[in-house]
Amino acid sequence: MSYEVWNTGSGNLIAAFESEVEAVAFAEASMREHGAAYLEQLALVQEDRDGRLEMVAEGSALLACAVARRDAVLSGAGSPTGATSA
Amino acid sequence: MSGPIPTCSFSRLVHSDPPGEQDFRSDEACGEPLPVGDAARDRRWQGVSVFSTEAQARKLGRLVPRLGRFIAEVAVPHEGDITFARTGRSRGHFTLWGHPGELVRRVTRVVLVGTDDVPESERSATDEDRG
Repeated sequence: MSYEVWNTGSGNLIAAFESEVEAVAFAEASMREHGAAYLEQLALVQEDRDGRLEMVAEGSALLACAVARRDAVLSGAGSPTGATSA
Repeated sequence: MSGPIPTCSFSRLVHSDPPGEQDFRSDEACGEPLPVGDAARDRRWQGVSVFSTEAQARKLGRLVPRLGRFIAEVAVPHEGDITFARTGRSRGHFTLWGHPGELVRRVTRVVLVGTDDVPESERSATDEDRG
């Protein structure tokens, strides 16, 4: 399984991960670094071993995932994960 | 004696037909911020995303329509100003590095992504997927 973050504005892949947790951590870090508006143009896509694609979250839904993760980290319910990118 | 220059064909999702330089811009050229993270992302930030087959580009285009309505086929000479490398984790994804104008000049064909349901033959890894 792989998780890829696409910039729908430029049409380019910007990050790839082995897990959804890592991908959402990247989205949350991007939100902190570049602001919430940046996430509005991103899409998180999952590809399974057979090459099937599924949308995990894009735009405001991805932003919501990032906000939820940030809130969980701030409340002590989760901790940042080291990302393994390609 | 010299023969035809060997080329490698790639497919990119684009917004216009015929595509323009704006369809072949890196995130750096678009003024997008450098993604948080590692050096691999820095390098990819300077290039443009393509797939090794039209089917791979079509699958993503149908899932994420905002990436573009068309698929442009680009023939890249093995030797020249355009370089490429396998990047990312998904099947067949490559990054091209080159001037947008040069990439546009290498477009050989443009087709619609299409909106029909994805045939089963395009959903699995058993089709023409490469890489």
